[in-house]
Amino acid sequence: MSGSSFAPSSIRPSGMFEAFTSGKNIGVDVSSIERELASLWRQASTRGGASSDLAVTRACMWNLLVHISDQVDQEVVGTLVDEVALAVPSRAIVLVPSVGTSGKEIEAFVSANCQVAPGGGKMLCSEEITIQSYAGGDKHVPALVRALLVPDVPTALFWAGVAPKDPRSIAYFPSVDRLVFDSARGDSAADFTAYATLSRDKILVDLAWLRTGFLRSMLASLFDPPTGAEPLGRVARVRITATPSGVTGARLYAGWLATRLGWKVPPLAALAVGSPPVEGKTADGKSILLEIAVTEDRDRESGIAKIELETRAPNVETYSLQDHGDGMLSSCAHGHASHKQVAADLALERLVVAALGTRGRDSLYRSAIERITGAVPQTEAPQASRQDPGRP
Amino acid sequence: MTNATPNPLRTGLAEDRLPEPCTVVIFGASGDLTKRKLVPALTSLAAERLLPPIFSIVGFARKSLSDEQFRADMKESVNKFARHRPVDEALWKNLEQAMYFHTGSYDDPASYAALKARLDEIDKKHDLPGNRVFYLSTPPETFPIAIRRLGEAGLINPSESGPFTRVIIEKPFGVDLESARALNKTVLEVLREDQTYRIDHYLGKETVQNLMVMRFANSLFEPLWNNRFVDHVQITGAEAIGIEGRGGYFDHAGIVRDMVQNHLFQVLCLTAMEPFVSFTANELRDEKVKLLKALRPIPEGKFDEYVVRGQYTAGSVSGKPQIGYQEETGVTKGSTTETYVALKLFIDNWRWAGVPFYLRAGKALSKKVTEVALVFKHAPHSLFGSKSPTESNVLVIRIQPDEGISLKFGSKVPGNTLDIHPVNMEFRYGTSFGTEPPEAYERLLLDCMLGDAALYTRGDEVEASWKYITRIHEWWKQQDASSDRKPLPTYEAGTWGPVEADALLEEYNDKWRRP
Repeated sequence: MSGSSFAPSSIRPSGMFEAFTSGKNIGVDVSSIERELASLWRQASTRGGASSDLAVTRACMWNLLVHISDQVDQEVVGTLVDEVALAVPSRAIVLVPSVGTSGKEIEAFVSANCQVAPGGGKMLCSEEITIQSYAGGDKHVPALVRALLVPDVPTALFWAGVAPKDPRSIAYFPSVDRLVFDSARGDSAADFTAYATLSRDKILVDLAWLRTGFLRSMLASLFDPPTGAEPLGRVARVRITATPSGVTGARLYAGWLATRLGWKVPPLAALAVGSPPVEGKTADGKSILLEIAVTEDRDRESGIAKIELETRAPNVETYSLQDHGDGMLSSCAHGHASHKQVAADLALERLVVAALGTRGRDSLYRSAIERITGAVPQTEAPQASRQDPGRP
Repeated sequence: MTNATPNPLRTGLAEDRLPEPCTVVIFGASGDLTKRKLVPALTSLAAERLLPPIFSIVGFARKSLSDEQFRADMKESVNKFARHRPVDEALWKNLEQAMYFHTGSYDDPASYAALKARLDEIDKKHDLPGNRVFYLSTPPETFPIAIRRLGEAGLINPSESGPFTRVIIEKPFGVDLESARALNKTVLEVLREDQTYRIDHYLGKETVQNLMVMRFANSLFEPLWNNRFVDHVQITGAEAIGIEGRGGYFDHAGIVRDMVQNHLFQVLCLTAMEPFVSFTANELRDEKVKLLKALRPIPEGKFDEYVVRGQYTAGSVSGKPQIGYQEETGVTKGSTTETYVALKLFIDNWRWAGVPFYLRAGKALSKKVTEVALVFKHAPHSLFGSKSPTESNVLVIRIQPDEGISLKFGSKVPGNTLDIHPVNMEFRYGTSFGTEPPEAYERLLLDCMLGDAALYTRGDEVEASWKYITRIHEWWKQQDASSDRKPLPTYEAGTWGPVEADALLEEYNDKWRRP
């Protein structure tokens, strides 16, 4: 799967799920929806007869709003929601925006998805509410969503499709604590300027960034003992070879390197395939070149095929990572043997699960996009604490 | 530990817990633990990309085996026992190319010299920096000699700088206070405490760790976690199976050594200890030691009021016949080894003064379950007269199986009358999260490679628990030697233990829970 496709692979054997679907359009008042869901819970509890004494349990860690656009297959999203709910129990509210007219402005459907445990025990993983709006119906959606949110759990908005050009438009959706999106989707690279602004008060989780997570860790491991970090101070050139859909990820990767190593670089949005290398300065004022090359070999889940760091002459040393496209990555530090590692599983559902985990919070991402846009890096304001003795 | 400039690329990475390149040397590599747990755990860590990029495994045992045979055996075991199975071919190929077997004897200095030469050769071949973890998965009597030989052969780096050497020692760590002290002394002649990793796999279990999370990451429970609100605590470690052919071992050990001194005392510590200052190995273990030191010694001559032992007779467990302990293979005729024990403990500190802690463990009981139950005091005033709930609120933390938490409280039964009945609110990990938690050995091996000993036991902790337990064994020994000894209580396999155990709770009008 390339970085820009949208299809979950299966993380569970087929047949484990049992869906309880209302099968009817229901009124869009909140009590009807909640009543319908409650009835599905009862069906799930009693299915299997009196012998089914294992109570159906509900846990909820997130309200997961899923925004789908017309480029995205609704059924695929349904499967994705089921897969994600296995690891992160959630109330999913799938929002299907205006599609023509139907005589109604808005409709809702509900389903409850049970995972059947080994041995036949039953458990409930997720509940899913689909809200379909028609022409003129969009205005009703925010209020409806607001009323349907499970209290006391955070809300994530997963933007399934091309990332919004201006992410501030998510203000339309109520109470969003975290925006999950994929900046690598779409024909043109995302314009990170608005995202950089939004990142100051929302948690942004970019799937393009998560796809390169393992590559960051692997590159870091080249500079763990015994090699140590000393060669990083002598790096003079960085070359990232990406697939066509991996260019955004490559820019983010370059932004991360520049942040961590204290390089002063012009906005990395200028890093493009075929363009000359971008020149910056290292922390000690020496020249550093960054470039992106492209490979037509698309078979790289991360979108990045190779990363090479070269140190300054006269002692030119090369440190590299390579994705062989066969599920294995190799890393090679100068003067040492090459070592292989298994590539990370970057299936969409795993990325979304990671995005909803604590790992979704990543201050490095904000710094990386600031390097891309050239925005002035913001320092994190310390969080006030009620227990803080220094508080006036 | 290797001294180097801090790696700026590591900062803030989700995978900041990646160990340095190292070799894990498993002593007793032809044994069951290696096949069922250790190599499968290392393989799962590799599958989750938590092993360092340069890593090797060396099996050490008396058995003569080629590297190829060892790799083939391990692959078969991994495909049978690993969490991620069948093993990914590319992953296995990568792992097995640095997997070796070395034949040697645990007491022969020449074997250790040869092992050192082999490890140096492996370091050179794989570009490893000489970091080593030795895992002693051998019979306990070999621990002292193996540790001495490792030291004599120069396989232990005594310095805090340079490549690290860590040694994991399997349980049991001693059989009584004296032997535990002697073993600690031998260990610390060769290793520093921070190089010593005494394993109790219970601490690697997710739910055992979650006991700490539940207590100290939530503000809801901790205010109730004391003698103002808790009436008593019951900790149960029950096995449904008998000794299953392990008579030779078990008849010398008994359930107290097998389960209580290690697993149940660890659960007791995590349940009752004070909050640690920070989640570091020594801070956590300091609190556990303080708790063990606060255990009230059983008064001389009153052991009968605090401890009950028992032995199972023939019966039926889960619909299958179970022979009696005396009929088990390897058990000495007339053996008085306990297959069941119940203890009443008191913790003499501010938090728990006056609260009885009842512990029980046994073989061939009704079902397999490990749990902690906090039984709360009744409401201070009965507002509902005769309708007031008679049952206490109970918070149960289930460690295995069906890990989870349940809370029992009184609720009005729907209707026009005021009927109050107890209801259970259940939270189960398995039914709330579809993901599988890591095996205990995965977590513990990873922690050791990372140099984090928080989930391992410290020398003084082991001695403190043996100090309490050894007095019980000594008293039983006296009883067994006495001419007017009472008959050993027995219980039918498949029940919840001897009736004599109920008497332990009668003083306070308490009753054993039915888990």
